[in-house]
Amino acid sequence: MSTQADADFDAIVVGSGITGGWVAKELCERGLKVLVIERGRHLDHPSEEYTDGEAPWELEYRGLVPDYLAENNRYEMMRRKRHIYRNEHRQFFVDDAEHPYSYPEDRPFMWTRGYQLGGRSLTWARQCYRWSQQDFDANRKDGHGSPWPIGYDDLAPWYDKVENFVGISGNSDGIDTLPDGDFLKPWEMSCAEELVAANLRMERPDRPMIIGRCANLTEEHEPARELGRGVCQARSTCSRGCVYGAYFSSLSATLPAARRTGNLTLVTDATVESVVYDDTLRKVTGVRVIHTRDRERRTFSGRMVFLNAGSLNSVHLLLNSRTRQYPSGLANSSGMLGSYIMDHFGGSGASGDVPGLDDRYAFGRRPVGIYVPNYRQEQLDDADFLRGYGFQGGAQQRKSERPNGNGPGIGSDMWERGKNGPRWRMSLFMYGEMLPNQDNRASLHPTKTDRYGTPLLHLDCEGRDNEKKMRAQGAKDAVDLLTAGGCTNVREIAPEPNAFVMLGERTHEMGGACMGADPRSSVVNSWCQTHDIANLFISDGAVMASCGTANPSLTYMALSGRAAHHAADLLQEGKL
Amino acid sequence: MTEQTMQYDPTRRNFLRICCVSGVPIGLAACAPAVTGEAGAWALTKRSSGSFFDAEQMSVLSDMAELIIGDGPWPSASDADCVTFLDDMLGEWGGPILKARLSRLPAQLNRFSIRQQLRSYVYLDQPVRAQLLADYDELAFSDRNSEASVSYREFKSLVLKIYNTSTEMNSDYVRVPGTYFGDLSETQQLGLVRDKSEGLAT
Repeated sequence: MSTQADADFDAIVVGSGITGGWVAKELCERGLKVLVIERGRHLDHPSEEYTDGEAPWELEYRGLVPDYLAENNRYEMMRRKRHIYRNEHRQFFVDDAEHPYSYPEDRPFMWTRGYQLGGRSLTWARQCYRWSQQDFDANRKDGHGSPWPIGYDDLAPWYDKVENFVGISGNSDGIDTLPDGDFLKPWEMSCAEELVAANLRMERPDRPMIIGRCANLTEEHEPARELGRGVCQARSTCSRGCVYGAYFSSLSATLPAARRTGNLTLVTDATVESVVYDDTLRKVTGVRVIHTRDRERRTFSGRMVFLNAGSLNSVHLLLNSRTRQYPSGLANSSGMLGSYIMDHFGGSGASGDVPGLDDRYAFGRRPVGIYVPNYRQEQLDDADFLRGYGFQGGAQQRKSERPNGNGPGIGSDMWERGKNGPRWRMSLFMYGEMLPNQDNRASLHPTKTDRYGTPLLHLDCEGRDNEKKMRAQGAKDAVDLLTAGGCTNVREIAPEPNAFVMLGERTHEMGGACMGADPRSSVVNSWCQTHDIANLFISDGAVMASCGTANPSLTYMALSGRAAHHAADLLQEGKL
Repeated sequence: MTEQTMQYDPTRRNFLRICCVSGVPIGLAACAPAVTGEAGAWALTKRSSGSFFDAEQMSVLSDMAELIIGDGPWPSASDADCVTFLDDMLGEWGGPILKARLSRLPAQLNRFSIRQQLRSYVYLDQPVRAQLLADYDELAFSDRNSEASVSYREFKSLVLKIYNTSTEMNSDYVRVPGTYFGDLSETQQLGLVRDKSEGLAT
């Protein structure tokens, strides 16, 4: 699928992940000749690198990441994000040692990346939630960050289009803060989740618990079927790739859709070093790449450039594209490039037993959990912070008769410990909204460079007082929700109040090239077009002016589709 | 070392002093007779060398795994090939530090045995070995900083990960469930597992 190309293109898209795929699809379907450049290796779909069909005993090393890697400090952040540190999908995650970045020693940033065709869309958590008007109003309302120049109504038609193409399962729940869409049939709640949700409807009617909405096909869906995508088989091996194409990825959906137009050219194993800017034309004219296999440098030309490399990589690329006119980074006349880095943050929650269901069982491995949408933005009477949070989690059967080696005891003692408690236990994990803070910054490291001589990206970010206060209240709320939901033996998960709030743990990094109406305080306009350079667009998470509480990928996709459609209009009207 | 900690001094001199023999660092077989003055037969099953561990290490580690998993209506550690799998994997999978730790573990346990029972681990009867390992386990989780504790807990963790991912422990594994049901009776659930578990269920 990957080819070399010398021709000029109507558009160059940097990055082939969840947003790059959407831009490529939209532009190709509009008849434009599009070049997508991916820094990682080529993958087909289905790929030989997928391991989704392997049973636990068939996985190489039983899924244990080779120990020598840890001893050599490889995959440091993946290792710290313990739940993803598995060998069966390690090939889809970046090793920090190979692709270093920088942060202050006492303020680490957990940057999770995937450098292959399809990017992180191969390993995303597939949660799809529309943002509400409340989310778009947040900056304007409390004065933090750049006010959004768009609202829900601007994005709603694109939410519709994206959902229709992707195939999102879920219920129409009628919750103001979580707009409904046109969903495929929802996944079932487990009996324990049903019980807790029913209790909450009575005890905490303002805090509904719903089944998650996710991009796994629960039934035949025509746009997906046309691309050869099949229905989810409830294996819950999504992060290893899916031979059925049952979960949405750019590799299984948008890139094939773009390719079938005949307008797509893909180049893989090519890192974009900088964007080429013509001072005279005041336009970008292409990109400079380094082929990672032979280190050959090369320039591709295009009539417009879309940056979809992932929030931080897009910012990095602009910072490294310094020109005489833009000495602090391309399209950075505002000085805001690299500012307002955000992520959802967690660290708090609770878990509890769900009694009375010891004779009830589940079958299958559902690829989604439950969701408690943000209720806090309208309920701040007992809070000392701004904005709010939601919860994700689920109730699972305890795996009976399955000891683990993390505690004391051998033989029958160890097995007995594994049997403690009722069959079902429920957990809730907080997803908090960070305040946009100009001091949470990405910049170029003054001295350290990567193997190609490019300055490393330096990330100096942390959750601050507002986030710490929110995290503390989130733990209390989680306990309250489980208790009101009928759980027993509820255990609070609450870090020390002043413990460092590390960004990146949710892999929802956003900001750095924020959207806004004012060119003096933002980088892109309402169409993801840079204020400074008309034919330069950014439509990944970098443009997010706030981070909301809902998983952002659906919004990224809607923004990307909308931006690409608008850019195609401008190009065809001769305005670029 | 005090009797209530697992902070062993790993120096060769101390090891030899405990074992009362001279020469290069010694294996378990040579260690116990020198202390106890007896040369009886091993009480545990002798294993042959693996691809990474030598015969003595394989024997002791296999015995430890058996005792950790224990006897019951579940597959044994041998059924699940825990130590054999670990031995096969360790050469290319393990880093030098882990390899060294796991290699030292039998000797560390043996020293504990000599201190507690005045006999080498391999000569202890099975009930005594089980109690000794239970004590060792308890110490390892109460004093987590010592090298001996780290070695033991890493071994136990690996054994259980290998055990829990074995075919023997996954006889009800359904590779392709096809769908999800969240509220079934036991009979309904077992019926689905029987239908879809590739015949591994018994």
